[in-house]
Amino acid sequence: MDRRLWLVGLLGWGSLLSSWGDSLAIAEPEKAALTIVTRKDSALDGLTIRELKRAYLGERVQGPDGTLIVPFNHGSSSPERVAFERIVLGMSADELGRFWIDRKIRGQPGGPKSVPSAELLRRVVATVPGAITYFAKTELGADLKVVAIDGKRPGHPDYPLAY
Amino acid sequence: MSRLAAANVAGLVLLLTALARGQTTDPAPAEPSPPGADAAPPAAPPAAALPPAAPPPVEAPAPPLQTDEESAALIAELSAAAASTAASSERSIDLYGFADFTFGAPIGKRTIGPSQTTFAVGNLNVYLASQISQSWRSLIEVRFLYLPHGTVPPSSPNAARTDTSAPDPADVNRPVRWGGVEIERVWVEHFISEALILRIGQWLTPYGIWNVDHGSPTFIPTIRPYVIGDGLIPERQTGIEARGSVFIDATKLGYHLTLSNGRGPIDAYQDMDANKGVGGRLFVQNDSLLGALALGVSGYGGTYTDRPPPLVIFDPVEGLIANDAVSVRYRERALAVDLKWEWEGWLLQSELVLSDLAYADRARPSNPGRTPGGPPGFAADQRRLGAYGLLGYRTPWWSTMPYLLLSQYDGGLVSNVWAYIGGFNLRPEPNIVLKLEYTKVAFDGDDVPGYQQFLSQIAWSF
Repeated sequence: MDRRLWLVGLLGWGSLLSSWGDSLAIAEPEKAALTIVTRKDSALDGLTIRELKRAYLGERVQGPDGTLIVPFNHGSSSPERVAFERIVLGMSADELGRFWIDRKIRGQPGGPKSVPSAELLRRVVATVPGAITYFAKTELGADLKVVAIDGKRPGHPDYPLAY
Repeated sequence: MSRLAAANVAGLVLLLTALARGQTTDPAPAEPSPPGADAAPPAAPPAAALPPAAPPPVEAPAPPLQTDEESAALIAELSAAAASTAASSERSIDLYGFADFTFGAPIGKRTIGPSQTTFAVGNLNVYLASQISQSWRSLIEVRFLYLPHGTVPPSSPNAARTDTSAPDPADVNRPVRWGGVEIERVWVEHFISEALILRIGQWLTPYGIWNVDHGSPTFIPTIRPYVIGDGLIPERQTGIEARGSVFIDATKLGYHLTLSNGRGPIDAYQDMDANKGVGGRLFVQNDSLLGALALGVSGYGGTYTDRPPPLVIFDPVEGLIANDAVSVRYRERALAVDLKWEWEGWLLQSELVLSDLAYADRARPSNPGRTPGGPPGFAADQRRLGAYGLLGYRTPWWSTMPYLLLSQYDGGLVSNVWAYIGGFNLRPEPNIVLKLEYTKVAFDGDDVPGYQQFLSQIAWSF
């Protein structure tokens, strides 16, 4: 009986030590990712990365039910916006600035509206039909849902918005 | 014994905990969630959908940003702007514009154009844009001008300058020079689908690159190449434009169809013949690893007609008779092709335009002998042909783009003109553009002298 108890105890401590060892090991840094979200009751479940780019570059993109997708941006200096513009739009802030100025002079519509705070942005997207935005994935809210990009969601090894 | 049991119980708990954790750290299935699945992040989301060590999505902490009233107002405003409902009483107008200021200095002796260094305010354009609803949008653009003050009618080069000076009652009748307003465009468009958008009003003719780029902050050089500036295809028209596009992967295919009054002396508000101007454009754009490539072909056909004001006379037999004779009429056909390629800061753009113009013999205007080498007589039919190529590279240093532009134009009546332009386009801010440019213009084969000039310009949008 004592031998069995010892055995179980040994296994337990072995596991503990193993776990401690794991924590000491150099873990591969986890990739951050941007999550595209829309309001929970939206019919929009997925977009291609090209559709996402088009929507954020002023093209009209519609959801599966015909609702116009309305993109919203974070404030211009937010890390999420910088990452989004680099990953999805492939442009720096200066390049995008020139892009929007030139578009407006041509007579085309301007860019997505910016919302100064993440909490307000979350509330806007949860309110406006067709609205989408991006968040670092720890900032999602229960009234939003994730929009798959190219059929993949954050956590997928090939998720295109990981960085 | 009891201590040993306790130690083992603790060990067992740790073991089970580790086992449980081992389950959650198993490689996540790489399959995406089914399309219809609601992926709203619950308090404890399915671990398989997230990376191993990812903290579960949680509600973002509400930062103390604004009062509830302010937040609610902003949300309402953004919602209204996004929905752009016709019922919205707080529909906004986007008011913006651009302007430019140029310094020109001739180099050497100049026989064409001013021979003095000159400062000039060129464009002052103001836009009023409004997203009336989700499917209706309006744009109005006007240009404020110093003109017509100081101008000399082109048809009477020896006439006196126009003087718009008028007594200003707000300033004890001291003279004030009034200027004009040019309506650049005024249209409303209706989105039916991506394949069909209708634009009604006065719009820029959707041909090529330069005519649509339109404004000095958007152009790379300071002035338009001859083939664009001469308007072989009308710069703007009044009528209906239909356009649409479709995406096939990274490729966009699109079209424009136009129906307008065509060209005429007062084409913005009256067509003086029964022949509408018809035009169209097909384009393809591809955004791939080789950069953004766009190709387009455009065409336009129309009839220009001018008539003097109708003279109504009374005939004792036939009653009132309106004499509505045509004074000038010509048919024009134009074709244009364009190419634009952007890759890693490089820009290559080129346009070629061909235009044929044929007068009706009974309405061929006189030509008072201003054609070089030509006697006074009647205006000749013309074939005009020209092209330009622009190559530039946007460097990271103050967003400077060195550029070269080669322009050729055969205006039909005078000799070929060539322009060799080199310069720098600096964009220290997205809405500020500085241009420094050297131009050499040469004419082929006859005694029309060429010229050289230095131009610098600041163009800004506001």
